[in-house]
Amino acid sequence: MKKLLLTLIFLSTLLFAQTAQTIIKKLEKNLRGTDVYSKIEMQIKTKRHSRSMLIESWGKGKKKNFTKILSPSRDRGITFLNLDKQMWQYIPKIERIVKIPPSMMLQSWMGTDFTNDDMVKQSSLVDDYKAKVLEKRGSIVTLELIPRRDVAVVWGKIVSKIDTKYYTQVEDIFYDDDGKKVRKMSYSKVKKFGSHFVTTIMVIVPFEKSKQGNKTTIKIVDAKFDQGIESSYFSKQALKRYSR
Amino acid sequence: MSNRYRLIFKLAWLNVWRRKARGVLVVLMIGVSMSVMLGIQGLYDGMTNNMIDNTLRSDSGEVSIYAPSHRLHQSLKYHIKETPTIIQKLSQIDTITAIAQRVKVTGLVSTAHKSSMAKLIGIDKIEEQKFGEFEKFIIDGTWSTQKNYALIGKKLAKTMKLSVGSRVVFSSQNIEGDLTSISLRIKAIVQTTNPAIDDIALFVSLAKAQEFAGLHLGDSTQIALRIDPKANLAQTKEKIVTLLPYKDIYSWLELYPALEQMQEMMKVFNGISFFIVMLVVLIGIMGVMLVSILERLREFGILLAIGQPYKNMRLQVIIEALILGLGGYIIGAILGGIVLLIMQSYGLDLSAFSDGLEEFGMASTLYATIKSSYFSTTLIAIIIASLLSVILPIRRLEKLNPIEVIEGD
Amino acid sequence: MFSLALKNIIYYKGRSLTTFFLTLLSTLLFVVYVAFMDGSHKSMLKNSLDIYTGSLQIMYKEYRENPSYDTILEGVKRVEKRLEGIAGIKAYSARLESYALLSTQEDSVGSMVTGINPQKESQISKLKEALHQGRYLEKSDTTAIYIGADLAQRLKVKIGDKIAFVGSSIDYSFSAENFEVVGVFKTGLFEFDASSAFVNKSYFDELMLSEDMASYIVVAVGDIEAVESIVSYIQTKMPQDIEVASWRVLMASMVQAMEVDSIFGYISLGLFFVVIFFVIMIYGFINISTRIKELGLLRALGLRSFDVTALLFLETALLALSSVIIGMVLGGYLAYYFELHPIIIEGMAETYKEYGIVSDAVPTRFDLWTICWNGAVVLVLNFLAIIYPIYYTRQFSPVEAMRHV
Repeated sequence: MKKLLLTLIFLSTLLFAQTAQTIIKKLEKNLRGTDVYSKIEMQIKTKRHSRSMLIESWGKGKKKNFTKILSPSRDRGITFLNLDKQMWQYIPKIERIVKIPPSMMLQSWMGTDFTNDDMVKQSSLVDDYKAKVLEKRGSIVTLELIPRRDVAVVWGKIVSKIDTKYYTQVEDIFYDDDGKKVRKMSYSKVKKFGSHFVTTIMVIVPFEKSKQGNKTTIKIVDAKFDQGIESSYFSKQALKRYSR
Repeated sequence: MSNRYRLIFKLAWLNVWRRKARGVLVVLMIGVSMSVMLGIQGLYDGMTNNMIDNTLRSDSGEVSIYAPSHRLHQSLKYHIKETPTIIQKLSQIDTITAIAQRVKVTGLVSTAHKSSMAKLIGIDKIEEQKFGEFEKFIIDGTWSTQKNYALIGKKLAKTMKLSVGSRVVFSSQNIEGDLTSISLRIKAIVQTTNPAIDDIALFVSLAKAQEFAGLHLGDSTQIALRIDPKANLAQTKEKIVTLLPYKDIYSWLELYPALEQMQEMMKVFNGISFFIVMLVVLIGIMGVMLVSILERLREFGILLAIGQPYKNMRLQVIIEALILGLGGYIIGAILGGIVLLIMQSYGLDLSAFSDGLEEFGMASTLYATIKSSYFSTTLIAIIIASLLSVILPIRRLEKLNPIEVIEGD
Repeated sequence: MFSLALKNIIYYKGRSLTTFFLTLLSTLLFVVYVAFMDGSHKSMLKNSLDIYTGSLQIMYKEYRENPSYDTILEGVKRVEKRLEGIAGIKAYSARLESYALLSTQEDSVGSMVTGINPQKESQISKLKEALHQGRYLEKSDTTAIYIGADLAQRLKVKIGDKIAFVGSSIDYSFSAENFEVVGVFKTGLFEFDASSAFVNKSYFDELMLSEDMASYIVVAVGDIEAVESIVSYIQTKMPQDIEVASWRVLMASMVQAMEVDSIFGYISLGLFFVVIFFVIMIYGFINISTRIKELGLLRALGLRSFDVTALLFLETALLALSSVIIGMVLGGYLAYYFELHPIIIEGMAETYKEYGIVSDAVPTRFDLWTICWNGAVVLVLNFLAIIYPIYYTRQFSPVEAMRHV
């Protein structure tokens, strides 16, 4: 009898773990494609300022990304290229391509609560984290994601709420190593793009006292998955060519 | 012969203590001044030596070897290859007492809350322990650079709000120029009082740093050497240059000219205060001897009149001065010795000023060094001062006219 | 009594003279040594303050802890208006500091690029004086940039070359511009020269959208000693959310380092005084003990023991006072002279540049108050030294005294 119970418990944990991994895998599949085109609107609010940006982004896999700023008009035409862990920027006003040194890449990206590292590394949830189911309420599954041994991410854990109806994110809370909340990402307005379900509104709010009142909102205005992107986008020439 | 000297000595001794209080005062003066001076000398020397020692132990050693252009460009491109072979070659030079190879990469250290500039330093545990007793730098935690363990400099830990057990991510460019990151767990906190280390260092194993930087086994960015302090540094450096003609080789004097200057300044400073004290000792003894002779003019006159050779009296006076001087020396040596021993073991606690001191690379407790030269130099100086001090009194004695003295008052 | 004291002093010429000179020497040494020590601190301070930091800075109260565009000072004109007419202020100027990318074909370097008001700045900091090549900034400059010598070396640029500036404006949008190197400066502070560049704020404001804003306003005062009172006064005229910080607050660790240096200086002096104390005591002792007979006689003649003590004290006082005063005057004169014409030690700046020493001059500091308390210390020492000898003589009864050999 005991043996049966034990086996059952063992099997169910295995099942749970399996479930968690599967969920994450499906989530990532949703979020990424072989290539992705997206048009994104960003609203950044700090204690003192508020501004809005519109950008277009072309990405192939995790290592290649080309981004262009459409608005505000001041920044229109500025392009970025991420290639093989390096980053370049083109500014039409001064007609110059500038290589961004790693030290600057790792700091706050344009005043948002993202770091360049977020943009560049985009660590894989599947590869870098071990997932465990904490709770299941209807179709919403709460997962606890703990970084795998020796993975270079700064988070101690991420508690992620996922809607298993379409395998989309609902809410992520990022914790530091001491279990303190550092930031929260909330997702809403799921839309279907091809075979992908994407939450089109993402709100980032930091918990740190000094950053109280900050809020970054990201809206995906348009997205295309696996439609093929010309490889010409992922070259230094692209920076100038596609700036117009 | 010896009887005569014994008599003179006895007379000298008795005369010195004729005015007990006076004699005691002089001896005390010499003794106390000497002990204070020894204390200060020991403290200042201790402070300078400490600073230099910490820098050498924690970083450059007496001599450091780099690949050409590395120091200028600070790039991984310029690194030393086949380090073990070089170390083998260096073992030919017997004045080299320890060798440590290092792989250093500058980058960014981050936590979920903060980022700051840092330097990843790959070290070999055994080499470092022999090189500079690295273990003594550890103020918290245990030394382990296995796996992903790292040791962090005290100031960096403070800036990033880290403690033993914290985890950090270090990111930088490797030799290919790619952005690379690793996760490290802090196993210990290190304080060397060398700001170049304490402010930014993250120590990991040599292998880990090589792996991170994209270097091969046997590559390094710096080879640091400890040289036997009794050896001639310049000569040893020459030998190394001849042995390794295609490397940049620097002695610590070239790497830290300010430290050398400080050492020189301390010498000058100690010399000056030494001189001042001796000068005043001289004046003190001279005053006492002068007065004591003036008091005994009549006595001396009588002795001369009854046939006592002048030589004997002069000798007596000299011995009196020496007794005072040496008496003072003995007291000074004992008191000074005690003061130095206390300062050496317990040190002077300046922790109220620790922020300012750390800025300049000094620990908040200063320890004194004790050198036998303190005592020997002072002994010679006091003897000289004592002898010099009686010149004037003896002159007075020479001019003595026995008859005048016995008659008049 | 007074005349008796005077007569005694003159009678024992030799001893009086020696004591006089000893005290004179110690006072002189003390005054001059402290003047040099204070002088070197003051110059170290002035040098680092003058180069860039300034005597005090006015900023938004959270800026010091969290310097960022969110804690920037707004309403600069309004603040500057309140500074008008405050006595003691020599000049003030607004600065906008930003950490940005300076890029050439060779390299991209993260540097601090600051918008300054060239004219006002030249009255406050040493940026203009530090000109090494080319020219300093002018009021009408737009895309001119003035960079540190070591930064120029890193970027491999010379006068006339173009550098791309990429940073973010106050609202975090990108700001970029091509600047032309018009001048190179060398302050001697390596850290500063390797990472700083300056542009004209009025143009920078257009680029950075920072009109009427500043990271902080830097203020130079006429007399650095009066800084604290000026700071409190300005603070009263500012709204609650604005902080006025003096250099003491801005450069706390330097203050401590100077204090440590002073302590060492005083310890060394302490040594000297221990020795002087004993020497004076011995001489005093000799003086007095040889006069036991004479003093005994005086007491036998009816002078009270108290009077004898008073007489001895008076003699000491006369000697000490006169020598201390002369010592103070002489020392004061030297301090004053060397403050105006400092001693120059060649090469000192080169060696100590990491410690912030940028000039070869070794000045002194002439301060009346310091000289006075210096003199007072020596005076007190003199009196203390004489206590034991006087006590010693009081032990003799008049008869014993007269029989004393």
